[in-house]
Amino acid sequence: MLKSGSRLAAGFVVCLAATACSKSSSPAQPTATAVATPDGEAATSSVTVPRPTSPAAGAAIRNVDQPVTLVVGNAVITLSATATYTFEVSTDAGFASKAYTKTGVPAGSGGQTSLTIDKIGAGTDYYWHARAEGGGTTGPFSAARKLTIGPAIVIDTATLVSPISGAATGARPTFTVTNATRSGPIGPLTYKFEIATNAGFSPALITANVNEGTSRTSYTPPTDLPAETTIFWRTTVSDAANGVTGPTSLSASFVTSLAIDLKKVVYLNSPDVSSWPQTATLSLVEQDGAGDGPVCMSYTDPGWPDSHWPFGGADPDFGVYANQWYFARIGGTWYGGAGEWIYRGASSCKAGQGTRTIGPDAGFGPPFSSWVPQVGELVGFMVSSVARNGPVKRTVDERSNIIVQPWRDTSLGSRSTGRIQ
Amino acid sequence: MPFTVALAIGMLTVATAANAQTPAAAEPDRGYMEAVAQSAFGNVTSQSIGAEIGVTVRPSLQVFGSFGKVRDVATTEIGASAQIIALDLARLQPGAVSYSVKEPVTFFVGGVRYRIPSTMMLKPYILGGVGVATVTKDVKFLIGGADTTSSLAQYVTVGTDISGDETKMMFTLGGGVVWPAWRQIIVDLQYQYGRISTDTAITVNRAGIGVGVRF
Repeated sequence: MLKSGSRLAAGFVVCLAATACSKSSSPAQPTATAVATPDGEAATSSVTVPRPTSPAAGAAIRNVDQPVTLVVGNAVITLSATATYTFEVSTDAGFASKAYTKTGVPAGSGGQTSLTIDKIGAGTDYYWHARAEGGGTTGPFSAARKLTIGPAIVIDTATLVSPISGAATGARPTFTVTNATRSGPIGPLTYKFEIATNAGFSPALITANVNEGTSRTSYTPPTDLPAETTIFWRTTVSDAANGVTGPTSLSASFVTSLAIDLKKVVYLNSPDVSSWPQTATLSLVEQDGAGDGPVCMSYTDPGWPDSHWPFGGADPDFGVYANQWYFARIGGTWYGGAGEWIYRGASSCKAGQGTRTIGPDAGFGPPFSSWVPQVGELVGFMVSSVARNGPVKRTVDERSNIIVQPWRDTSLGSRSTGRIQ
Repeated sequence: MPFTVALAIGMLTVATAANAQTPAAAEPDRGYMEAVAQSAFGNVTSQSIGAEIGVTVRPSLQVFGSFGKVRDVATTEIGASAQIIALDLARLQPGAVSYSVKEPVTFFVGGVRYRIPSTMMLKPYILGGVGVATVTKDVKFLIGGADTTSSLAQYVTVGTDISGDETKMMFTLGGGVVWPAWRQIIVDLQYQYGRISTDTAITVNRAGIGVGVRF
């Protein structure tokens, strides 16, 4: 009471000498930083600590997922004052080395305040906290929360290898790129091949994702590309596990001039095979229009069944399972038909397809029957299950791809490959 | 305010009426000194104790000084602020949170006391004074039953709305009757209306009894 009395006596003197009496703040909290309002009179608010909500404590955030958004549950502030927030991000728990600071963030609605911070360095641990200010008082900082930004991952552009720009290809060329260079703890890479008939790739004919190969990555379309068409392609490499995508490569273009649109072919003495599934792969055709005109085809045998050979012979069970096909472009139109029969146990080379015999040999009729290919002229080759019209019955109606290549005739100057036996 | 003014006027009226019925000369004295215990009511009901000394400057006029302490005059504003903080504390930590709010006032007032002439045994008077009062904001937060007010820095920074104290002007009006109980012993029945000009003005009514001596 005596102490109060002496203070009162002093206060009385002060009050008599001034229009306003004194106000003292002796807050219980040692860190209180209450700031008097300009008139020095109004009471200051009390401010609680905001509650960190997101990212979760110890969160590991991929570098690619930056920028990070920090979220706190709003602090409580008395006297209906309006709060603003300060966010700090530091590389140390004591916040001596701040990587980011933002003050004056307005309180958010819905009881939460969020702040999307600038990008911060990759591959580093950080600590963050927040506090509220308002009503003349700065509240306490929330407890520091740790977050880790994952290492930087960089993926460069893959280099297009083939088909190169300006190339002539068949209907299903194999697209090949040199694997992209990369840095950082990369995950499995995926190569997106985009193939289109327009440089804008809108729309794309094919978009395919292929797992990375060894040093090179390739993709072969499962369907034919449009024949005799300019095709554009490009690739983009991505690391799905880390959410990182490299830049898209420049595009390259080529022409499917070595492809034949089977829907536009005029079929001679043979069925339309444009809808026949491609179950065999023709990988090599070697022919020489000189001599007896062998045409040799190397292909995977899909196991097409034999069809009984109705024309007699020593073996009553003899059968054939395939036909060679020849395509000629005559007057701007592709003509084609099933030619030589193929049976198991025999060579894949068939004679009688010389420069001057291939036209009349198959019995296709005009204009094929009078066709005489020129050296260097593009001619198409294919194999199929039994297809030729006539008494030999068709079986599974399947075919190979088509190879279009220049006609050769060593008697007319073509170089010998030396491989045809 | 209307009630307190009416009470003062009523006491004055009773004293005046008594004086009119039995006129007599007032006994000369030089002053008085007394201890006072009162019931205080306003924002909340509490108690007040204090002391008062007066000096007679004219037969019907005394100059007095009094000081005392009112245990609690807590306003609704400080209670509301404390409740807001307590609710958030309950969300910020797992312990059960409670709180207490008090605003004790220590005051010193000086003024004049007009003694209404009376021949009755009860001597009525009215008074008015001005002084200063220190209002202390005493808010305590308890977590799990323990007072943690001093260790809440991690959760809250308290503002002056619930902490610190204010020293402000105070004025008082009132009245009462003095009963010369035995020889120099007096008993003083009194009422005082007081108002403290804090940020949120505080009204405190005090009604009680004083026991002292005249000299």
